[in-house]
Amino acid sequence: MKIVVTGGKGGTGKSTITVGLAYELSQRKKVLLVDTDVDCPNDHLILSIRRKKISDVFQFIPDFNYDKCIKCGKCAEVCKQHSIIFVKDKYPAFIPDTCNGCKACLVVCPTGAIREGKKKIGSVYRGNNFGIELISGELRIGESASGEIVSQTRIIAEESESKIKTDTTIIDSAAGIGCPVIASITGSDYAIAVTEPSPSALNDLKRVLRVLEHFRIPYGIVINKHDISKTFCKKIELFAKKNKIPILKKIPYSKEVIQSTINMKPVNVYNEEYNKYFSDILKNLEKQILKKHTINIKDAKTKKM
Amino acid sequence: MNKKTRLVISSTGKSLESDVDARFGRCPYFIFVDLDDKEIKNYEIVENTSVRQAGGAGITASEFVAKKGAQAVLTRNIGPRAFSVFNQFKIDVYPVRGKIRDAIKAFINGELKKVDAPTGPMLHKGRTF
Repeated sequence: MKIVVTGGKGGTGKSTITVGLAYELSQRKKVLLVDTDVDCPNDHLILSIRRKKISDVFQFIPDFNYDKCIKCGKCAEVCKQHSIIFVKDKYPAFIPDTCNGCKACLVVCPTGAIREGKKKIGSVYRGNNFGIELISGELRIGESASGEIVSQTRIIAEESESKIKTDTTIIDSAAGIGCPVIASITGSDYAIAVTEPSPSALNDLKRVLRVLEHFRIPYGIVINKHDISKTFCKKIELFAKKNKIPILKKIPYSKEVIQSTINMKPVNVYNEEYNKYFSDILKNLEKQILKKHTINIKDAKTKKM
Repeated sequence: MNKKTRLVISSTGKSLESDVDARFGRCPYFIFVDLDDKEIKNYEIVENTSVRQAGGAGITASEFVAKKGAQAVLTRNIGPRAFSVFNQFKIDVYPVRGKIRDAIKAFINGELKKVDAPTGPMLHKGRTF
């Protein structure tokens, strides 16, 4: 079973809730937590884990063999990233930073003067604490292929699943709806969308729900910090009711949550009273999954949010 | 023995009385100078169109001047990408400041030292594309 925690808007509490859920569930099941917020991974901090690197992630860059180069300049012509510079009668110059690994240069070279080289674009780490196994992906600073790092992180997580005989995998996704979030979402059995009562959060929530619809992944909402605005919370509840979206739980705002992250502990370890929120989310989650919430293809196309 | 060299200098303005611009990739003008031994044979002032780019100006500017046959670059600062292009093309870079005319004189007299590394980070912290 794979559960992804997403939400669109940053700062709504995805990581806090993901870690809390992982801790609650780890009391009775083997849990693998996958942190796919590779730009800024935080789960290892909330869990006081000093991660150990288990893999580097590489990307293709051209490796020029100038012995075979006939200075035709075709490689520079096809490079959309402007990573290859060609000047008549000189061997092409190459700047690795902007290369995105498309391999057009390798394909177009008439003499096979370009071989497969590689550059490091990120790393994958592991660690464990509080009974939770963590796999954490991280993008190398200056690189732009976050989505690729997420994909590699998930592949390594899959391998771990069988190795440690995982019951449930919980994936903490990044904010937003772009490539890295899509790579976090695909193949999940259920998505928990974490939101908060504010116009930006609701707007972003709708955008991520449309992505989930596209991938036909069933979802439910958690309204975090629900009491920061009673009126707006009602707006979200109305939106959910209108669109038949289950609300798995409403969690009140509390400075204790912030304190728990500063103390680098899951909130339900820092304060046992929080257990009830996460056990309720899991209870409702199980109910939803048992319902086998399927999305009618016609509804998905005409659903207006 | 006559030695013909084509220099390019990053310039703040459109004349040899202008200053050497502090930046290579985003200077407003390039001045190409053709030297015949120790004499200025010819010079050309060209607008730098890389200035308008959001990112990657060092790369396009270095490509532009290399395509125009520059054999040596005089500028105050050169970032890592432009430096890498020139290094791969075996075009030497000489950091220099002050008036362009003086810089050319200093080059002719062999007073300038070429660098073997970028003088600093990219000055423009724009997005990469």
